[in-house]
Amino acid sequence: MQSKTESNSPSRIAGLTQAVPAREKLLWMYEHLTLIREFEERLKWLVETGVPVGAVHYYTGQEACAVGVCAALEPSDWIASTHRGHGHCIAKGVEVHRMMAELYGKSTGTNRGKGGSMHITDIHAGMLGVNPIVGMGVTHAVGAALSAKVRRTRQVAAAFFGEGAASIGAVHEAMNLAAIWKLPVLFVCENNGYAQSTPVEYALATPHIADRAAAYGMPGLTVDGQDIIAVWEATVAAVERARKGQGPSLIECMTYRYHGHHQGDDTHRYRTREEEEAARGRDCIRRFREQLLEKGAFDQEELDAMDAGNRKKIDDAVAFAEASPLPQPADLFTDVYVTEPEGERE
Amino acid sequence: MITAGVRELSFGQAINEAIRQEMRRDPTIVVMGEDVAGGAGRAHLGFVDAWGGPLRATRGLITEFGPERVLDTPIAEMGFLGAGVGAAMSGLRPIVEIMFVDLIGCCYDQIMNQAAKMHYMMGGQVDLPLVIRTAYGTRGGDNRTYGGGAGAQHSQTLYAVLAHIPGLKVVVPSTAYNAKGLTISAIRDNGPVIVLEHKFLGLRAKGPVPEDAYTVPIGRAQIVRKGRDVTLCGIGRMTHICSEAADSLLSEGIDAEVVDVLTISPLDEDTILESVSRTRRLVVVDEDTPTASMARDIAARVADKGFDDLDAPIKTVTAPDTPVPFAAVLEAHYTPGAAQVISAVHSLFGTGA
Amino acid sequence: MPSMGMYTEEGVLTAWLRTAGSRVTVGEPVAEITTEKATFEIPAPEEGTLHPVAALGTTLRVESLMGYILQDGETVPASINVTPASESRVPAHVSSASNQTFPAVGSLRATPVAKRMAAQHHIDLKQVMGSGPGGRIVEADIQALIAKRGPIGQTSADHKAAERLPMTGLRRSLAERLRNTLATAASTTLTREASADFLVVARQRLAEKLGQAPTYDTLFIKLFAAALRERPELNAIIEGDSIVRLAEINVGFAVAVPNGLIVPVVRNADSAPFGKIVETVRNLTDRVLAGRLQPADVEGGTATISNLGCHGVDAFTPILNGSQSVILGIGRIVQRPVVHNAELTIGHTCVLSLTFDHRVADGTPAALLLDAVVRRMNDEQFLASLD
Repeated sequence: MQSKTESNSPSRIAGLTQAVPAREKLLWMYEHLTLIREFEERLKWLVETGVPVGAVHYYTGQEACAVGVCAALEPSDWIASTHRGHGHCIAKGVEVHRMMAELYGKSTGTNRGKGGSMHITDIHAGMLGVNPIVGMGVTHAVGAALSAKVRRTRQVAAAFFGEGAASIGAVHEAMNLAAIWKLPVLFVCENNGYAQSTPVEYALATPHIADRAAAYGMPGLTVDGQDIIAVWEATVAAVERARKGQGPSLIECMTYRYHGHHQGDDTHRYRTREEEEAARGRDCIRRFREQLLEKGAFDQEELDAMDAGNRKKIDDAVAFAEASPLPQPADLFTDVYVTEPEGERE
Repeated sequence: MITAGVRELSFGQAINEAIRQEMRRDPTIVVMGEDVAGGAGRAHLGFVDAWGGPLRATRGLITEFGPERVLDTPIAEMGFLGAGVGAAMSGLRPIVEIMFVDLIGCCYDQIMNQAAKMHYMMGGQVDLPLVIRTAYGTRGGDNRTYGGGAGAQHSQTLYAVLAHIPGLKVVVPSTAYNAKGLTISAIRDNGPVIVLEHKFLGLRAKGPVPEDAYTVPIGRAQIVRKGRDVTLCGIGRMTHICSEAADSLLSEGIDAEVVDVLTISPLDEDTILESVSRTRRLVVVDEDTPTASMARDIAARVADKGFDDLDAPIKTVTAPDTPVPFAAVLEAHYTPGAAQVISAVHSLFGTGA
Repeated sequence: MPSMGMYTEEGVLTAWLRTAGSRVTVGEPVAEITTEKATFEIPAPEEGTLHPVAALGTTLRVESLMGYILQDGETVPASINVTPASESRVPAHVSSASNQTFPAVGSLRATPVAKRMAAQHHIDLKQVMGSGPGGRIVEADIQALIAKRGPIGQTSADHKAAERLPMTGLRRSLAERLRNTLATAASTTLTREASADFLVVARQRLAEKLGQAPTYDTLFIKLFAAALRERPELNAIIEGDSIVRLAEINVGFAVAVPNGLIVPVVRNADSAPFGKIVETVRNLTDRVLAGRLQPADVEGGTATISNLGCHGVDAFTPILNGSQSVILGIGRIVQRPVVHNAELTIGHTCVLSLTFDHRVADGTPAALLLDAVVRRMNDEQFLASLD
């Protein structure tokens, strides 16, 4: 894994814009990277202290992928997500207190307590849904892109998926449709090295997911997913191409999840401590913070204040979730149908 | 109630008209599927001679609405149905054709886990105005029927696996009239609706269809023939089999009522229960295989809620628990017919063989 | 039991016209069956010795076993012998011998509706012989018992019954039909006194012409039919959510028989020549009184007249007939004081009562229909055209 990421040569990252993000954008990136980290680490603590928040998949370690991509999108653009979706939600602007309430199964949650971690959705934030059926979100992003094209809205859709999902047929069908219809889609593969416990080397016959882009006549890039600027740059180029009507792109972000596949997964059954330590050594947040401080445009206090603000946000989110009401039994029967049937129902 | 002209249209033409009129009304409606345009709607052919799917239901739409709204797809049910789901979540009203219901195996997740559940599991925040049209059924042993002799993987009647999923509406038109009305209702519904179109009816059935757009309500069964002695409850093509049986039964003095279910989910229990409360007897006729079927579901509901009104056991007439056979002679045995319905009715009265 | 017409599925055995063991010839009436429409005689299908099986008062389905006509040397099938004799078990009706099976002792089988009705009427199911498939007790069995016995435990100690008359056959079906009609239709009655002077004159004229005075029934059938053609709103029935206007105008007329009322029908009374109506009414009345009605005689009515004037009744409220939407009640035609042009004179009048189903039409069309009848009673030209 590690060697693969390091062997990722800059020559593969072709056609990127060399623009530098504005100061506000950089701050926005830092704020969201750390907000995701704070959310996930607090969630892990809640799980370990026995708070029943259901099945969760921590995003810790991969933050630069979600934030780097969403930093290049407009609020009106769409994303579709995976089971490991908290980071994508936060990066796309879903409110953390409503997410936390959803995890607590409260009626104030994003999905009114009917979704849970694996279905968090905020259609107004352009977040088409966390989707735990591997690969399905990718097809939905293609649909949103089709909608944008037919309705001529200039929106783009980004489909996040893991390297495990790269093996399911739906993803390939979706890529082919997007390519033949020249849809404004970004296929963003977060290659974290493992599909649950199955290593990518086992499941993939080619070195990179991005290699598959050629089969669909679209550009494919592999970037360092621990480098938020690299992710952002690749996304900016892909978005520009999409908005011009030139069709989809595939961006493969080489990344690493720090924790297990889900809250109960013991990573040491399939990963070495050495590999994990090496990955943490390239932590996307620490690297980005160092870069920001190095350039002198930001000072320590400013970033510390942002960290403290995020901690407060998560404190508030937990308090909000705990204080929120539970759904009523009658809510079981609401929203089964979008249009209620005309006949009498029980 | 219907003032404009009424013409004789085929079942497939009625659906075509429904889609065409709705597409004129609402620019967000798009049609997607394999060969819905035909020949990929190629410009050098003038977009005219589209194949238009197995029932010709989408034929010629590309001429009027262009290739951006009438989308031929590659053979990728999971992909394009997923695109339909995503498009429905984000501002379009897609009508997706799965050529034959037998192919839902290729895209079942999009139906079962995605389209059906989105609205509920997202707490009601997304609408999903998606129509899935698909052809089904046997030729009933008749070699001349289009799609006849298609065998086990292209002749099924998969009502139960669709009706079983909460959140989906599943409608089964039986005439050209209700095919148009139910299709329009399906298109106007803000949630996912599956329209099951019988291949036999698709090209054979003809009937009066008003020119104007109109709706037939989803979730309502219809009593298509009044009778006093027994309720024959039919779905899709089987409604016609029930009527055929009722004609024959009348000549021996048994006055059968025929209920056309029209929507298998959500089922209109009230109409069926009301009918049985008058006739005291029920025979459900279903072209699907019987285990965990609509026939047995309807029977169970009536046994549960209409028990005190029953004067005889509830009978079901269904296909057997076998795959659909190829040979016409076997397929004729497989598909429920009027003779089996009549024999089931006889068993309720203790008459006949 | 033979079929009594398309829509008739069962009838009550109201009489054996010949005793058991008597010799009968083909076509000779042997039994009487009363359906909800009328009473029919059942002719012997062949020559032989009559062996009745079904008990009086039992409800029989079409094709079910009534009895046997035995050829010389023939005996009754063994399985049947045991059934009619039993005192404790009442055979409700007996199905044909070919699929005759009775429940084994201890395996009581009854349908849900039969159980429910039996409980409501305090009927012990063990006392009931099931006539359904496999001997299952069905609704018809319980209904037959209720009809035969009357509701049990209803006569209180305060009321000593002089006589208990079972509501059977025609009486029972009439009672049910009337109750159903009253329960479903929104019955409303309009009454109006009308001059009958011209009608009396016309009847005298027709008496000379036809050699016999036509009954007022015949005249009112014609008047009512013509009026309905002018105002057809109520020549209609309700079917589901629809009001169905009927093309034909077929007017029934109530005829009293000892056990109830029978309403034979004059078809197309609006277009039929008056002489034809007279003849039809005469034939139908004869057949009713002789108990020889054909099923078709009582089918297809779209409106009805009921005349109690002959019994001295001035005015009354008729009840709608079945699913029909209008009935005309005719009171006594008699000389009464009449104010005409501010002068008190004497004239023939009668009170007409029009009961209609308010669900089908409102008061105004009903009043206009009644007016159309009255106008014709006073229309010399119209009355003169009757022949």
